[in-house]
Amino acid sequence: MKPYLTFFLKPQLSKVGLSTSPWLTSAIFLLPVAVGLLGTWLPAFGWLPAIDARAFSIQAWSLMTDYPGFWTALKTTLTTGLVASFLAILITLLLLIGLYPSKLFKTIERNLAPLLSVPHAAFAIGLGLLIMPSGWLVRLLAQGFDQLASPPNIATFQDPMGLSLILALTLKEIPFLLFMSLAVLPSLKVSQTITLTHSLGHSRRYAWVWLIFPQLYKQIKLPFFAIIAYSLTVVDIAMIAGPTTPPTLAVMVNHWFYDPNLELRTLGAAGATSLLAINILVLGLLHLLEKPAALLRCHVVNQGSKKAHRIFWEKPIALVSALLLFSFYIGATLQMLSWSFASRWRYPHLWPDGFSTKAWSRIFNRIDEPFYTTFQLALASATLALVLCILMLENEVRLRHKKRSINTDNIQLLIYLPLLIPQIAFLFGFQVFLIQLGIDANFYALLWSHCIFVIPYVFLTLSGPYRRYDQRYQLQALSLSASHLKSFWLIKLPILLRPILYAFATGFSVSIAQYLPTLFIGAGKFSTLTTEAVAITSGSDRRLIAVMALWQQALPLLIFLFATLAPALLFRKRKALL
Amino acid sequence: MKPVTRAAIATLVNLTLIALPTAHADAWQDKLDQAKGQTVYFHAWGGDENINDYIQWAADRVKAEYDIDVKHVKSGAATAVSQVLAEKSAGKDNGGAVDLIWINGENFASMKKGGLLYGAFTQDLPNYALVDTENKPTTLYDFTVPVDHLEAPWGMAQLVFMYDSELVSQPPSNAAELLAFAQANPGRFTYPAPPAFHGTTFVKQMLIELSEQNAALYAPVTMADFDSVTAPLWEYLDQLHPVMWRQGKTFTDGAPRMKQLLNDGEIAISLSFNPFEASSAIANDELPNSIRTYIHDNGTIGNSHFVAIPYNASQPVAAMVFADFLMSAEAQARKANPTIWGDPTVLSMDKLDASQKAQFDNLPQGIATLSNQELAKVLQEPHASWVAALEAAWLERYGN
Repeated sequence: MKPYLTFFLKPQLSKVGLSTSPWLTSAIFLLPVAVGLLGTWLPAFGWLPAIDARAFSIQAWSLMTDYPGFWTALKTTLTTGLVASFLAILITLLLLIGLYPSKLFKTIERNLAPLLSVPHAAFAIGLGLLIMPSGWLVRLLAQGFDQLASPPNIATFQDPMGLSLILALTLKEIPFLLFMSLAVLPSLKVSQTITLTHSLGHSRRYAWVWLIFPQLYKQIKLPFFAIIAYSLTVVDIAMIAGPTTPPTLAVMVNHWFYDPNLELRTLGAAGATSLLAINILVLGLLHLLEKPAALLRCHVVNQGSKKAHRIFWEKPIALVSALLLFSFYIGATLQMLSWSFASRWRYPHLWPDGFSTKAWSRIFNRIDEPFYTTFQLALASATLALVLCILMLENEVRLRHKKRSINTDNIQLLIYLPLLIPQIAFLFGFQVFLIQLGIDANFYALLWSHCIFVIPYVFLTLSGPYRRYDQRYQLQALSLSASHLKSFWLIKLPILLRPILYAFATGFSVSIAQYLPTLFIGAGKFSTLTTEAVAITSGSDRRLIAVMALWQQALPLLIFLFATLAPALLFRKRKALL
Repeated sequence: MKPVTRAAIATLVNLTLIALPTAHADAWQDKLDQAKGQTVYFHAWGGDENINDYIQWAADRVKAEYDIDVKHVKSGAATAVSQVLAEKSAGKDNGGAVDLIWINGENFASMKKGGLLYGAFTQDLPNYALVDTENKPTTLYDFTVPVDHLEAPWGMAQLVFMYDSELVSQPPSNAAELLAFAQANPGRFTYPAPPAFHGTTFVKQMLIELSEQNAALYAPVTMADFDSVTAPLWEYLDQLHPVMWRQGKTFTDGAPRMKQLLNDGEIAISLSFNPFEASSAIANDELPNSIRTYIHDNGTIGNSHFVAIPYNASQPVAAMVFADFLMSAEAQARKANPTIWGDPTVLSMDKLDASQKAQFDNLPQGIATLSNQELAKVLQEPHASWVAALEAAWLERYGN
């Protein structure tokens, strides 16, 4: 062992805290995941004493596969989820090849926060108001074409093939992938790599596809996996923008879990287990494809002498994609804003027939309590998650120096489990467990349930950049200050402040978006902006739906703006940190 | 018998007669005392701000009158059932999180069957005596399942069609005319896909009409020749779907979405379970004032909705007091006002005293509401077992 490294091994007070952190964090998950899974698997195999099912069988599985529309639902799930995820990463890559680094890209980066803060369901509704047959785009056309005096009878939204669902998912995932990439890109030395490849006679495309992207992919692999899992299991967007007869499998599972016929819950459990299996299969396959992809890359790079393609078509495509992306978001938000102030609004009118603040004032009367609960939960869970994740990542640093063979990755994989399991299935078991302990329906249990979903997102936002932190800064700092704590606070934290704030903002908005945990673990005793929004969305009044969606968006927007602007303000004199 | 004894017995009988209601009243007063300061978690669908406002009003009233706090949990009956089921799974047989649920139909049937309900309680509620159980049989039979005092009637519902009079000159008056309308105006009608509540009801309505109220519908489905009874229905839907909204390849997920499509002009005919809904939506600017209501000549399916107490409720007594208030003339009259909610009352006008009755006088009707005579033709729900069978058969045919 190199002599200076022994310095790191000095016994420290914080060591105990660090070494227990992965275990502590995992325990936060292991328990709910284990009981949650058990609570799903037992009913899937016929064990649900609450409805007097006490015989193990695979009947639920055959009932499920015989259920009308099951196979179509499965197919739709796979096509929409996979196409949307791959489109999202492809367009992200195109945007990067075409525009990064550039002034325009800086503009995109600065405007990412509002995009990220749009709640998923609200975005899907807003998108619908744009593209449905009576939507704003058709209304625009109707101004010039008499044939459109009434809305055309075509399925431009909620189409049976799931195209509108793919569009909604893709548009919602691109900002997240861009956001994740942005935290990593500064450390990948993009400009230098491009210059170097240019000097070797290769194109910008070559540099991105064969040199930069493989490194980037490694860093955003987990977020990308999370996106795939999300797209395959999402319920709210799929209900709004997806096909209906049959819907996607996740929506079908959701129906089974809520069906008045309690026996369908065993089907729901089997369906949820299937979704988990599909996730594992898809993600496992992708993981296995990495080796051949790496071989291919080696082959291409080693060949070396290939001439560069001259036509650089990525830039115009990237420009168009960026324009479309922002147009859809601006359009959807404008729809929501207009509806929130509309009194009456009919086809084919482009703007409301009258304006009113009634919807705003009606909601304003009862927003205080949900707002406060939402803020408390989001703040507490994001802070807790951030502290735990930093501790875990610091523990990794410690282990790396000890050259221990213990691989914390294995423990950390557990953290991602809650993202791979459909919430509806997993929560029932967890809820039963909490009730058995007698700690359901209180704030701390609710906070726990939020953390289960907040921590994985915070970890996957933070771990990439955190692990890439150049430890030599730390050595330098230590040699100057001789204090671990000081070097952490004064050097490491400022350098990592941007990804840390991004992670915090992500965690914050993930907490705000939680619907089922708030409902189930809170036993209905806690109302948040999201539970209120979902309640209103189950009705028909678009004006109230729009107001609630805008309220729901307000907090994440503020926190993402803070995460983007704070480093710029703090570091205005430390240019290298920007 | 000696006159004295007879007199004594008569006195005794009289005393008992007087004492009985007093005993009742005392028992009720005990309940009111017991309920003081308690909190009721009322799980009720929260998608309509008019209804939310009404529940808030009722909560404020029982707070003032009985010192009971009512918290409106805005999730539907399905999640409440889920909550109770989770508590039962965990063996939490008292102190549950749900005190009262807005419920009817299948959810009620399944809670009753699963032993998830508190027990008979409505017979003890003073205002239950005012309920029109004679002329409103659905207050006793919820989707043909005997209510057995396990849930307190809250409101009445009847399937009505809402249409845009700018697009529909003569509304259909039966299934055949509805088909003719759709054929003449392709894409302007749809219904929610079963098992969505309104979708299943539409299918049942068509089945009743097309099978000419086949008696088999009112007995368990297992006793009927399902295929032959339902044959006319499928034949009809096979004709209707290709001329429906989006060629019947896509359906809506429920009545709220249909209401939006009606406003958007995508469809010209929608359906509702509330005869006042169109008027109320017009007053609220949610629908244009060209919307009107119609029902089919032979009547439409009607039912009631209720509030029920789960078996493990934390505050069952306070929940009873609130349920009783919801059945009061004051609460029912306010609920029937279409500018507030517009949900028909479960009470019998004949059982109300003059001051109670006066609250129902001069309620606005709204321009799109049918008269009571027009609404009088109520069809009974088929036996509850038909629901699952019809839904499965529908999905088998059209859900792929």
